[in-house]
Amino acid sequence: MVASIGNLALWLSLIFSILQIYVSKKGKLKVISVIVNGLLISSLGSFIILMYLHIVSDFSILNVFENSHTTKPLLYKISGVWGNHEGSMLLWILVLTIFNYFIFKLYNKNNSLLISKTLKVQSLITTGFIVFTIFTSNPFKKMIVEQENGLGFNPILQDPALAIHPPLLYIGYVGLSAAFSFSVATLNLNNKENIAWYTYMKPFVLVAWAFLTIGIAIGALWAYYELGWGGWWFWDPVENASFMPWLLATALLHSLIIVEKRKSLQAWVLLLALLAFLLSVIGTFLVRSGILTSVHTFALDPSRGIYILIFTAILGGYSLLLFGKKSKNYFDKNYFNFFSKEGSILINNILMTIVCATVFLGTVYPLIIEAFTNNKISVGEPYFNATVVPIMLPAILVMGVGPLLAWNRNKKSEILKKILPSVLLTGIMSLIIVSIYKSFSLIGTLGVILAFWIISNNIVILIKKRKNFSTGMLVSHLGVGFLILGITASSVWQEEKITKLKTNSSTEINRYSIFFKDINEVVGSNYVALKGNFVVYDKEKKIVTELTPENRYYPVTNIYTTEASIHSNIFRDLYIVLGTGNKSEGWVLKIYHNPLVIWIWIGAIVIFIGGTISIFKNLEKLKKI
Amino acid sequence: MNRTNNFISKIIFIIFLSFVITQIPDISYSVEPDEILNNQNYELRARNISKNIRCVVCQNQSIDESNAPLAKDLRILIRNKIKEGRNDEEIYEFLTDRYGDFILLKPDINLNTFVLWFLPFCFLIFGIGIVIYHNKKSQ
Repeated sequence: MVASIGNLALWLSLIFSILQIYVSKKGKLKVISVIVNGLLISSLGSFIILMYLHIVSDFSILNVFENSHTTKPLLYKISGVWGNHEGSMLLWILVLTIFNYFIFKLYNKNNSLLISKTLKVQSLITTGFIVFTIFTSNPFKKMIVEQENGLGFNPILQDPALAIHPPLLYIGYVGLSAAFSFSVATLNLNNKENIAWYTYMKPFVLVAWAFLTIGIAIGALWAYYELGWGGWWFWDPVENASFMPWLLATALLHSLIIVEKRKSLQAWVLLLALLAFLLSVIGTFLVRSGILTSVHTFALDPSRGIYILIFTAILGGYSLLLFGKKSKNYFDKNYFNFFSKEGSILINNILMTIVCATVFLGTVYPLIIEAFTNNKISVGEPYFNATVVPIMLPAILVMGVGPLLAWNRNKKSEILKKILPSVLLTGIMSLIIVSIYKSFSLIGTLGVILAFWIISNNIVILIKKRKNFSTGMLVSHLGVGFLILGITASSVWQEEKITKLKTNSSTEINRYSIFFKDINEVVGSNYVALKGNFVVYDKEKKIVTELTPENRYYPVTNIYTTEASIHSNIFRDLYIVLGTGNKSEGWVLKIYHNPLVIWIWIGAIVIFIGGTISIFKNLEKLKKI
Repeated sequence: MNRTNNFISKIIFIIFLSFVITQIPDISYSVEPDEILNNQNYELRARNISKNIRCVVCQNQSIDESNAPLAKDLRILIRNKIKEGRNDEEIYEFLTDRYGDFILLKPDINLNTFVLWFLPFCFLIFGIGIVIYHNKKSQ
């Protein structure tokens, strides 16, 4: 009964969405308002009903039966709604309609032409996804025979970070749909109306970018503590699928600044906005269709893959043809000097796009080769590290100095004067770090220098209180500095120890001694576990911390997991994983000393805060026009 | 103008430099204590090879990270080959003969992968071209 209402709400949202296609352009404001609100309420309704079905464990519904279990904690019953393909589509639609609502909120007399066209494109996209959900992935499908209990839920996914990871990413992906819609609408306007389309597009890009950043970071954090490999980024196809839109969103939000200030690069920005969302959809296609086997593949279903493929082809074909036809209206003849703010942003844009193209190439290359030659090849982490890192290095170098530069041309002597303090500061800070870690590594030294290059430049801007800088930019750039520091130190100076240890004995790593106190069986809410107790001492024999890694067994899904135990401070993480073993021979242990890892997470949060500051600032700007 | 060219050639040099030094140390291992060789050089070589070898029964993992039995067999095989005195190239060759190019996470440069390795470089040259063009026109 309840499920039928949910299904009805989903169909209602389809009807509203189709209606919006027709009325958004010529309809009365009141009618559009009813439809936009109706679309939001009906998609919210169907989403809440699915959530309710998961909470009450209604096993007459296939989706609940396949993905839930009565023993599952409440938090994971809720996050289980989007932990599977069908439910996640419902969330995707909900976020689409929320952005649709906010686009409508911008509507006024002066921009009615732009907004109504944007609403039309947005409702076309929404319709596409609702049709997809109803006909290939309906979460309200009933079971033929009601079951006593569900099949459970992958215990690896039962985690607070993974509970919020998908919604954050979806805000990012779907936020880019708004940029896409604005771009198509703007192209259709032929540059005849004097509407500041970029000012409307920017807050959406900022939201998408900030949430993509934090969403990706939380996914990485989860991989770091859950997968037990001590690493946090694996160039998995699905990680690439989120990284590519992020790169283009980064390029987009920087070039939007140029459009705002100089009215240049309009055509380029419109193209970026199209590509960023198209890549989000292609990423979904690659991951959901199962043609790229990845840890995130929910189900292998060719009909879904074909639908998304056709949908993407239509979306991409239409928008890119439109761009080809209309972009000339937005061309300009402005050229940028190398030593200027716009020059540095141009370099940033080019390099981000090149990285994105390279990641795309590496991700789809095995498919292409297999299709044409029947040979199977792999493109993995070593390829991406070898290609992406070198392109990123000059981007970071330019990123440090860009905010210091003025618009138009700068005298080289003035640039030198401006960067002198940060060059000195960078030198001092890098020397300190490199001397702490002693072991000389070229890439490590380079990474540390670049990180401090960014941090120093931002500190200098802050101290000198140079006018015209944006607080959001400053904070975000500082965050990137922290992030690079953490990435570099944790990957270059990681120490690792693999050993077998009996209880009541010790092992050493870095300047710590780790004592294996005992090992016990423990019973959790839906698992049983072996839990090791370790006491960590420093050189002065003082207790630093106690670590308790676990080996868990989840009987419902018959899955074993390892729970790493981590002690973090601002200098390093101590990371310990319990392996197999027994009382007489001891247990296998993997212990990592990971320097400065925490700065990766701090960096991501700081970037997000910077993004949020910018969002609010840009919303203020919107009120003024 | 001359100075600009200088600056650009420096950037190109940095990029080239970084192509040479891109062996970022890897992050994770699933090697077990009984596999580890006493000879540190041998062990390091085994590690580096393992990181480039795909675990063929896993999803996007190297044999160095994987807990799968097949991965363990391959790790031991690589170590035995090293102890026999084979060099890295011979070991890679042995593995690709047996399992095909699919097993290499860092694909060799050959007819199939030429585009894969060459294209990013073309992107970069093209990008640098745009920047130089802009700079010239702006003067």
